[in-house]
Amino acid sequence: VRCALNQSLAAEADAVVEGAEVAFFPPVTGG
Amino acid sequence: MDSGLPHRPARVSIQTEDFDLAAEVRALHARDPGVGAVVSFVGTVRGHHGGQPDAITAMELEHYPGMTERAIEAMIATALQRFELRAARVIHRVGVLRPGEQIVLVAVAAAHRGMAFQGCEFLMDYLKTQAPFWKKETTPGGARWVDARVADDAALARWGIRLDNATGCTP
Repeated sequence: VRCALNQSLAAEADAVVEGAEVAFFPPVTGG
Repeated sequence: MDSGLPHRPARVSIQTEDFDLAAEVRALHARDPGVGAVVSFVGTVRGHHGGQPDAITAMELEHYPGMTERAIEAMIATALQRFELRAARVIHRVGVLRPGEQIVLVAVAAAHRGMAFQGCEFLMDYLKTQAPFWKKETTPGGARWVDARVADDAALARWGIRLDNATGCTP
């Protein structure tokens, strides 16, 4: 699982502030 | 209304519609006499997936609106600087596609061919492992999500960028 904060890739240890957009998604497979 | 600002063609498009390779290449180097090389890559839907016996009847692509465009813009900015590119264009289709259809276009323009070849391959390697897209294949036996490939991470590592898209969660 990968993590994104406010539409930027993030590390698991990154802090989440109130109102942030948080996303978890599987490995990407585009192209 | 004319803003008075120089026109800047779109560098990234995420769309359901097909694209015209020749038109995109023409637009990429129009009005820039400094361009001496244009390299393009077009990815298409395969009718089979490696190791899978059944035929693919459709491929559905999803993305993360907003983040996907921003991620590709950042990739292009990196490539422009690293390979001295004069222009770059990425189009990625989403939605349901059939075998043989175009999925993705990466095209770059540079003064010389060496940087153009490298810049195009770098962008494609980056796109495969960093842009939030997901593919689901439909076969006569059902649908399955496509797994990320360690080989794509290895391809990106050639450029000195290490990550574990296929195996881990740390960006």
